[in-house]
Amino acid sequence: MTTKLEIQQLLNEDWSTDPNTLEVCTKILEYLSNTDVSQVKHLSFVSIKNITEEKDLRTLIKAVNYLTGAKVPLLDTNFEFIDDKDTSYPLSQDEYHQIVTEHEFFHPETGEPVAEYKKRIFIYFTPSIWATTIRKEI
Amino acid sequence: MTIPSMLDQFNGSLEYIAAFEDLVPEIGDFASRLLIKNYQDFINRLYVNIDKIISELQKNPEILQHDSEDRLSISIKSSLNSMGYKASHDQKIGGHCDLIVEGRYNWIWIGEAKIYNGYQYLMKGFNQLTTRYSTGDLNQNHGGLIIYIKKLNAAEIMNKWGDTLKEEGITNISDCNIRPKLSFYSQHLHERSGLNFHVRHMAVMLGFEPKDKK
Repeated sequence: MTTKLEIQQLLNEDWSTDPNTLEVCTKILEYLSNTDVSQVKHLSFVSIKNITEEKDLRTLIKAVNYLTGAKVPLLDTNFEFIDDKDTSYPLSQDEYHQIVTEHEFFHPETGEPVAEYKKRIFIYFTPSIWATTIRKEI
Repeated sequence: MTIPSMLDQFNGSLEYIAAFEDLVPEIGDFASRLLIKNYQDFINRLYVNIDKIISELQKNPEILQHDSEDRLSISIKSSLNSMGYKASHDQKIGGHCDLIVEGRYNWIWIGEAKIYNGYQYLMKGFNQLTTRYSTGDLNQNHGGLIIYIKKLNAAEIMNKWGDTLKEEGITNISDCNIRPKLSFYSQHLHERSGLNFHVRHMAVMLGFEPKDKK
């Protein structure tokens, strides 16, 4: 079983030459450790930016990319479509796959094609099951 | 779309993420990662990312001239980990592999790395990869031979390496459309599993002999 300390050691090892990304990863680990992650249903880029107080987007994306990867999978990646009435429609992996490969998207309720859908489909994150386990191990 | 404007405007939409993947190669492809549905997808994305890492390494051949195989392979491993892969170096699987990359569902890719020092030495690496480290099992039947070439004319060396493989009975060789002449694929029956085993042979061009030197 992996403990918070072991994760921190992985972060230290992988980001030894990039202290900025290390700091952002550490802040996300701290957040997930000190929060009831079962209640965290939606983390947008903006909310992660606020949690980490990181102003450099390149650093923020590097950290999120790493933490949604295979080695330290603290976060799961999700996508949602937000229509012009600000209604959110979560998209499954299969739906996302279809959108990207077929280059078109239809509104889930009306069935109408959505123009400029790339501007209306957003990435967001949720704590992974692994993250839930780690919190209990601390 | 430029990075400075995106810093202010970034909102996590597909539009910006796709642009960012192209502009910041070190982030890998975390949006594209969700498109991976099977082992072949995993291998395809891995090679896209390894090519990016190789491209970065090749930018500074002068400072890598004296780096060992291990040092260069650790650099590739670190870059893969930063991109979100689970990569390790010197892990024990039938011996000490240079690179192991693990994915979901027991997907494994194994890489053996050699500094070019003649074709016999490369054949030793190929045999280590295919008969010592790899199981050849399903979802583990792709590997890579990474060839650090510190001499000039890497394409010629790769061409002759392909000929050497053919002489050794590895006759199923195909071009790589993404890195023609600098990478190619081979396929043969894996001795242990009896299944096809696929190897991507990849040149890393580290030759550096500037003519302005006195």
